[in-house]
Amino acid sequence: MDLVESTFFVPDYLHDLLVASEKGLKGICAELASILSLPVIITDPLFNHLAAAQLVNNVEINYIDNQQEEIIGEKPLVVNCQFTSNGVPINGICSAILLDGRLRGYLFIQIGEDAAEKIARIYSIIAYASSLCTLELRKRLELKQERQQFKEAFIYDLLYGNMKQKNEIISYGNIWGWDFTQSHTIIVFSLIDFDYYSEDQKHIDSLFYLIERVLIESNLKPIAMKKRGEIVVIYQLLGEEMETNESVIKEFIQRVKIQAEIMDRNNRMATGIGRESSNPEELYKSYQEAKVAYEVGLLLNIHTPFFNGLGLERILYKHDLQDVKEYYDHTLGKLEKHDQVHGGELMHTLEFYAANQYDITKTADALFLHRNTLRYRFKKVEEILDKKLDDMNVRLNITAAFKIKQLRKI
Amino acid sequence: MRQMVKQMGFVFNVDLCFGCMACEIACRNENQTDSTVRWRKVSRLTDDTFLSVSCNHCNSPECFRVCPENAFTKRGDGIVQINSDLCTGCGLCIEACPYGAPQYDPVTQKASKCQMCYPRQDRGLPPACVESCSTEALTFVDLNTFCDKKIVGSIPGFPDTRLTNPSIAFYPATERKRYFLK
Repeated sequence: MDLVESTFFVPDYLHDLLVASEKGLKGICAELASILSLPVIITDPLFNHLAAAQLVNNVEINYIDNQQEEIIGEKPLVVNCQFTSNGVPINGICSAILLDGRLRGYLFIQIGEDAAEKIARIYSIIAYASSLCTLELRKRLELKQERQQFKEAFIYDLLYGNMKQKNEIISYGNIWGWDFTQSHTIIVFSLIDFDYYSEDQKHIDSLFYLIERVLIESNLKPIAMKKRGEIVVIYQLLGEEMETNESVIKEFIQRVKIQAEIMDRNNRMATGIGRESSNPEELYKSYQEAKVAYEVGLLLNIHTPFFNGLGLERILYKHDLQDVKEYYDHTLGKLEKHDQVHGGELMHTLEFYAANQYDITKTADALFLHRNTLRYRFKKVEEILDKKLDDMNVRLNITAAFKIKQLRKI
Repeated sequence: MRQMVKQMGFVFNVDLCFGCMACEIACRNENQTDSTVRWRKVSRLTDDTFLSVSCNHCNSPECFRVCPENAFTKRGDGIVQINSDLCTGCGLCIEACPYGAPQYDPVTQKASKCQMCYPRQDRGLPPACVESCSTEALTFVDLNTFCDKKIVGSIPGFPDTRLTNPSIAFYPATERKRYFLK
């Protein structure tokens, strides 16, 4: 072989890998396993198997040796990792599959004892296979984006009530296998303090992928779209009773949350759930409700806020700002002013009293105060406000005023 | 065929606006609105800064939510439209909008609002207000794809954006290095 020939020589196994890539990730996986005579697994970033070859038992990925930042460099590194196969820990090596600088998956090779030694010998073929996987994933992604465009236009029209005919919605939904004869509800996911100009958009993309995955695992066809900083899911409800549906939704959100935390430890995901709608024409209402539930949930620290579960807050949240400010001043203004002038804690005490259902014993326990001290303070509050605190209507007004304060309207 | 989802929105550069009101006049001229109807309004923010605001074609439009006749729709390109055939002139949208976008038209006795000159846009032209702005203080973009680190979601003097998530972005006022003598 002369110099030119040896310089441009392409080994047969590379050619075979390239040919196998026509069959997608499974083809690459099978060919690589056959060349190396070792088990190979390709996973997504959450370690869900996308393809596997020559596996004897089920394999769980325990850890990857290096930190993610080290794996995701300009050129993907090949690093040590550990699996558990049938309860037995096994060494392996792993290469990140990157697409446009973002982690899209992993390529694992189960090696056994002398992993470190083997890395150097098979490094270049793994890097090559990893690049082929990148190309394959790009193809998949482009195809998915193309399909998603049509889906998104349809979902968008549903969310803004632009489709007025029920039959039209049902037949359009059938194209993607979505059954709009069933009840649905809208769930909105977003990141707290979403910043469009930071890495947050990437986090939204990952969250979208994750949500689709969890929906598929729940045997539901994902009806979801990304909208700038939010992900909107049209969730199909299979049960008839509201309580059952709520617990199913809670479980779904919990699963998404757990997976999101695995993916990103500083996960800032928050959610809101609208009311159930059996008529797809009216799903836009559920969407608006879900967004209100999301905002109110953030303000009141509710973990899984259902619009149905919000009481007075949902009226106060949307009410005219000037009007609620005047109401607040009218109800508690005098007391607030008194506290400011005299440096007292009457507002704080009354807030706790309202939060503890106007029960003196519970409030005393919560504030570590004697009941008589509380009685003295409430007498003072009654004098300042010129109202009786045992009057039901006064209590209602005070509760509403504190809710306005909580909703940051003041 | 359904069109691709976009979110057209205005971008307002506070430094470049000197309050000439050309946008407001162009809007009135294009849409032939009554003299009492102001779809676009230019107001003074501080001594030397102005704000030009119309309907912000919000992500969560309050007008859309409160309308009992469902007269509002949000097009695939993000433009919030009002169907005047359905409007009864009840005025709920006028009260609900934090930006004062829907206006009561005494001639038709119905609510009307900026429709982002969609007939012009369909012909490939920019909205009249954008075209008339000689300093390019007012531009319009697809906010789903537009990206500039200098822009902000709100500026002092603009109503709370949390409720409706308006489709407007701002280049905030920067400290001036030169002043003109008056």
